[in-house]
Amino acid sequence: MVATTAPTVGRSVQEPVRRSVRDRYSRREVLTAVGFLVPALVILGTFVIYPIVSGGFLSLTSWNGFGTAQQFVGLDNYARMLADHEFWNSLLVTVLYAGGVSVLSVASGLAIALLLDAPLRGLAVYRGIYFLPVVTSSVAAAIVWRYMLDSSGVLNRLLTAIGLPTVDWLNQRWTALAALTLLTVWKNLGFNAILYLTALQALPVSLTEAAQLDGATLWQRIRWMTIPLLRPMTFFVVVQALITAFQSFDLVYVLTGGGPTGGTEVLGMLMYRYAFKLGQFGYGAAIAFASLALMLGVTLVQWRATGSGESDLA
Amino acid sequence: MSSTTSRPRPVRWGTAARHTLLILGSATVIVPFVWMFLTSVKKRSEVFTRLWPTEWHWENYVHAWQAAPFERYYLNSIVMTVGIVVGHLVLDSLAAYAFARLRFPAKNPIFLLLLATMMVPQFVTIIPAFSLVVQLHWTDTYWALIVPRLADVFGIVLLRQYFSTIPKEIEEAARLDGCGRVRTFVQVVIPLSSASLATLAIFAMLFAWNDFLWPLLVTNGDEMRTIQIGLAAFQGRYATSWNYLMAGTLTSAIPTIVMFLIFQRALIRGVAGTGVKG
Amino acid sequence: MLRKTALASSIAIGLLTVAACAPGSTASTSATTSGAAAKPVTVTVWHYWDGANADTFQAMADQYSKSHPGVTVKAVNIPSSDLITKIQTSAKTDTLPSMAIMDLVSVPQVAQTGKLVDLKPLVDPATMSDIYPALLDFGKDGDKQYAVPVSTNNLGYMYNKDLYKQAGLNPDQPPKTWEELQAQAQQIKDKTGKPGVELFTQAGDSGEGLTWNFQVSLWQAGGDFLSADNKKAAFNTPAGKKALQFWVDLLNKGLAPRTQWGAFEKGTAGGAQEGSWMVGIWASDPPFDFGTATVPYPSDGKPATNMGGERAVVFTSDEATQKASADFLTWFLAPEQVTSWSEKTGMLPVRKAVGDSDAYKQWVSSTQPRLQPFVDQLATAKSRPNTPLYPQVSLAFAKQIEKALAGQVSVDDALKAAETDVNAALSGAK
Repeated sequence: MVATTAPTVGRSVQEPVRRSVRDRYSRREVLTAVGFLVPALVILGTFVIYPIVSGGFLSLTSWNGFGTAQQFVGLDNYARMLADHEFWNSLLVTVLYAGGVSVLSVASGLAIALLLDAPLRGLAVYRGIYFLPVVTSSVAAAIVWRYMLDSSGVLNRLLTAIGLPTVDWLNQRWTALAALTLLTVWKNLGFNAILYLTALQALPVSLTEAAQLDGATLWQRIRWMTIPLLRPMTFFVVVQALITAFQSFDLVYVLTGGGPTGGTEVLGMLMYRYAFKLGQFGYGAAIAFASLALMLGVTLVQWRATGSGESDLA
Repeated sequence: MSSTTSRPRPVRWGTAARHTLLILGSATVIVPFVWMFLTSVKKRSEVFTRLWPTEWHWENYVHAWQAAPFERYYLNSIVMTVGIVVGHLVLDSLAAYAFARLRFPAKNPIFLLLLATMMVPQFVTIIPAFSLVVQLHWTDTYWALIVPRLADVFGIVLLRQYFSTIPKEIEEAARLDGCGRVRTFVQVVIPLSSASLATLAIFAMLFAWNDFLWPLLVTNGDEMRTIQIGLAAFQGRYATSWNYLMAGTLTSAIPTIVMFLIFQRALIRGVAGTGVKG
Repeated sequence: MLRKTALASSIAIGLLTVAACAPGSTASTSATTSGAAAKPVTVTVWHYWDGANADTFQAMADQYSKSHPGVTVKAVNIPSSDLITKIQTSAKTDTLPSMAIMDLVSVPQVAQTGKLVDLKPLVDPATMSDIYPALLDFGKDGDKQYAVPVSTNNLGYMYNKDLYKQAGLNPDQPPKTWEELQAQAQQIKDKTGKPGVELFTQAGDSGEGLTWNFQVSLWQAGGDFLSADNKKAAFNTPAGKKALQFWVDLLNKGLAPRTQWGAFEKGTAGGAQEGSWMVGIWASDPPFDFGTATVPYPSDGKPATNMGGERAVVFTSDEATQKASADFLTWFLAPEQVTSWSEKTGMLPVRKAVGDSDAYKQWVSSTQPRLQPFVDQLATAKSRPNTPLYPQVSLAFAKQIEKALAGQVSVDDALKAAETDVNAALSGAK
């Protein structure tokens, strides 16, 4: 993620091939690092990592969420998942949703950030406006959109006014999923724009100025200078988008409730339902860990593809 | 802002196009908020049957405010949010610096492990985490609301990335002057990172302010509840009071909007002043 | 306002009793000393009521606390969608409150915590025997009674009188039978272009919206939902087909919209099955002129409706708290309180002594005549199966039926698939 300035590959730890730990790390530096890390790691270890391990154990039990009995069932929950057509439907929906959210988050966040990244009258106002959905609760945002996307809602009235046929957005499988995707992107647009904006502002101005003098067009500059330089941030935005999509729950819950006929039943919704509504906590946890594995896989592939790995983990 | 006068490039057209695009985008944001506002001043029966209210019921705001001890909820939300934001700024930035600059064994595995924890849904961890808080006898205290969320991986990843973009030379210069790691961090890295710290502060604040399930679980009454729990009560079992919910949502979002406006200056100007550019 | 004064007093009392911080659990101070009877007891009640219901309940809790020295009833509102989550996490960590009031279908699930107190020996027998028998089904386990009804409601037929007038129909003659319902819906559709009735067509997150609405039609057609022992699906019968066909026909003819629930409330559908609680909520500020009726049933069928409402449970804790909780329940179920609760909230009375009393009947006819059909239906209201697997069953059922309602599969296929899935859920395989 360091590529915005000179990559630090030169100091890669892999470089000194076979030296002892004592030689590779200065004792003083390691101690400093421990001091820097301990406060955060104590908190995260206690309240995040330990509960995850504990939850991982639950995924191997048939715990119903209510009783005290936690019967160990081995990998039964995972086996059941593979045979559960609801899981596969949900996985398909989530993958499409995550793909859509990732691509559109990057595109919209970058576009808005580029538009905001230069002096312009009223910039602060624009920034404030784009940030509004981010600060609003998901429930409120989802209900507004549900109302606007209603068969007799604002959007359809608009379509009618310009002579287009109306669409029953939330009551058809694919349009409902599209609506959910757009709502998610809309809700996080300000968030992604700010991330890109801070990254843009940290870019060395001299580079783009040089390119301007060379007669590069705006599009060429963006395509060949800015976008590659922003790769680390893009990685971050995509990871965030993936996490949002795979854990999305409250937006779906309010907008469609997972319907129509399972068309927007994302994994977050499925997990919540099994764990808390149906009292099948173990199974819900198993789905969570399966989705974790999937997300990690995608992230690592992306990590490699964007080249974040080399410069980053130096 | 003054650059438009001196430059020969076709800035004027660019400016107009940018405004047009930004305004179009803004419209998708503004329209839903106008609807929220209109809903917040309607009477119940007109919420779904009319677009424009026949009468303006400003008293909805008073009703919403009185439906629960919201003063207390605001106070709790503020204490909790400040605690969490400060925690994130300190703990996350320390850890992020270690990951960005220091060399120590098992650095990559630890970092990847942390990255992976971000992808575990909250509901898997929430019952074990809650059990811990109960064993610590923290329920119904600020400890429970703040301590478990003092650090988070998102902030560490974000800051680590910014820290690694700071040219090493700046730090090395400081260290040649005899600064230790800690002093370099405090006196050189932190001031250079005001923009990223502001970004983190904004996101930490948003997360803390809007969090719902955790505060609900660790509190058992009005004394320690936060705003989002109060708002959730408007979505009742038998009917949802959309007008009150929208009034409450709009007023509860004000502190976060104000904080955003304050932080965004640091966020934009901070970068300009760092000397990193150019 | 009520809650604010209650807050002040509960803080004051909270200082006296540590129990307020560790609700219900054995940590309660009253249990630790031998002179328990004299020690003040705090009964913490979790409930999901909001608005006027919450205020009324709070006032009644305060009233009880005032008239019963040594006992404080502390009512805590939990947002409805998270009450069960909170009970789950609290059961796991032994931090349950003294009592909880919840939706009746949640009771069998919560009973699995193994922490419910048998209320039979604790609640006054005369009170118990006066409760409508169908209401006691839930939470009954053999000879034990783990839950007691505190409030009830049922589904009736609500219709938009404004639309009826526009369609040239008599707004005082709601449909009595399915045939009339269909004819009126057709006329509304022809005259106003709007669907004449709304059905609950989507499974949503829990399936229950669809399932409990459909059960009404199923029962009316002479069918049953599950076998008597709750072990097998019982709806894949001619009665089940008749009920589902009735719904599918209404949708196919455009007499009911294929949309998310809410059209009736928005004024864009002629009528719908709605709960009695809507009467109270809409009465002061109606979105349109609305009427109520008993649910129309097939002319060769029988009247039926589905019963909802809240049940109170007491969690195991020290004896003093359990006893105080049960005593509060008995008090809450005394005719005087039942009357006052019913009149203030518009919920239906749970006791015959109140439901059949002239005073209550008079109150309904003079103050809230729209409740009359719902009160009349108390006699024909049925309750959903009393099994902890009900949430799974309900969802499995709705998931298959919604496909038929969406026009994706035939009535026969949907019922067959639903039967398979429901049986799987009941056998614990799902």
